[in-house]
Amino acid sequence: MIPDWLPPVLDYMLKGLRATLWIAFLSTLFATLLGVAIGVTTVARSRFLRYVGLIYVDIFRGVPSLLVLLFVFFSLPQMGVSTSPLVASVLGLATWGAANIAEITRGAVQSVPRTQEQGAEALGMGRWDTLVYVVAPQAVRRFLPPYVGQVTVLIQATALTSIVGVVDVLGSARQMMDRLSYVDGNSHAIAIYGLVLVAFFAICYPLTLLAQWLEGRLRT
Amino acid sequence: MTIGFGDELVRLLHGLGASLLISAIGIALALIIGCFLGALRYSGLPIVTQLIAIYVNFFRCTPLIVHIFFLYFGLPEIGVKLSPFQTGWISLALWGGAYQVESFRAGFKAVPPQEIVAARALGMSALKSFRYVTLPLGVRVSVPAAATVTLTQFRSSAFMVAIGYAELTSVANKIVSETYAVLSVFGTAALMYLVVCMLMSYGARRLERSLSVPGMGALR
Repeated sequence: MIPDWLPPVLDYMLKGLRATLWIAFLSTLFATLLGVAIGVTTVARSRFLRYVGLIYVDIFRGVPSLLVLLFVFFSLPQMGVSTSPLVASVLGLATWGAANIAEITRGAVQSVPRTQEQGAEALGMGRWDTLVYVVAPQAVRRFLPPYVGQVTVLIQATALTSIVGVVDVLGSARQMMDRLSYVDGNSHAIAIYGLVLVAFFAICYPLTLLAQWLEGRLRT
Repeated sequence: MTIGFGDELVRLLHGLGASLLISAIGIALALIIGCFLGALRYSGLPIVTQLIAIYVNFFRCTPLIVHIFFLYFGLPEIGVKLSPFQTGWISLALWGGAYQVESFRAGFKAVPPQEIVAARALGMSALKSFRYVTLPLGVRVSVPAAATVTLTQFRSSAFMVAIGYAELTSVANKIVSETYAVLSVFGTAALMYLVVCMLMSYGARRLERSLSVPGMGALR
């Protein structure tokens, strides 16, 4: 039943899928670390820090992810850093994703009523202790649902890395289509793109369900 | 590295024009799809609701870039040949439409049930109460969410670089490959995206303020 062109394509696309997952994991990790840090600066007391954070968020949320990716991809070699497309992609996606995560962090922190901080201050807690022990545990409820949504956005954005030459699930699919059309004259484009769509759906749909479930559960 | 910027700037502005054109068509169609299907999904009609849910979940859980490739490289297999321009606006409309369905459905759901009960008590049919009560109120509540989607659609028009449609990011990418002036060219393109996004969000905020329903709103 299985057409003979399919097994090698699937085999190669699974390698691509592994690259997609790896890029998604690394960009999510770095975007989260950077994003939460920047999000915290946007609610800092120091006006300077606040502005730096807000400017970062406004710039990177206002430009297309692909533009950031291309910029990082082309500017790294000019700065004398020669890296693989994969590293450039992770850097680009993380820089861009961090802005969105920073905005989510800011919203979550601001959703905690001011009185909580005032109470902590009255108890003699320092600014940092207040943030860690009082604000953060309450902000997490508002943070998690949109954060999970943002992770699906980042996973989907990894498909853009095929444009700069990463052999991710989409890149591998495109290479196989080129090969098939060269060998048999039929690229099987609909079937192969269909497989790519199914792969992304299978990863992202459970995550959107998780986001919905979290939203229902963590509603205060 | 310095380059004569006059010529490049004109090319970038042409690119911006092309971005605005496909975005405008995609955005308008997505709003129509969103309002119409959002109303149908809100209605809870059996089968129709499930079909719309499949459309929404599928498009929200798969990357736009794969839809673009599917439309442009996949459909010719069954004899449907789309130009880069057509692929651009169709993909933006279908993808954005899925997000707009949710914006509008949330808006309709935010209309207090008392309003609808009151409309029905006045002898309006279900359809009439939707047309004269839920629709006008719901659409007004939907404005902020719909505006967010609209901005994302504009930024995502950059993805058409993958099929060679000469929008802003493609033009910038081309100029960079000719001149290697990464920072100035991508920087200018980024500035153009930022300015358009700022103008759009300013417009959206004004619209939001003038349309906000007293005592409702405050959604999201």
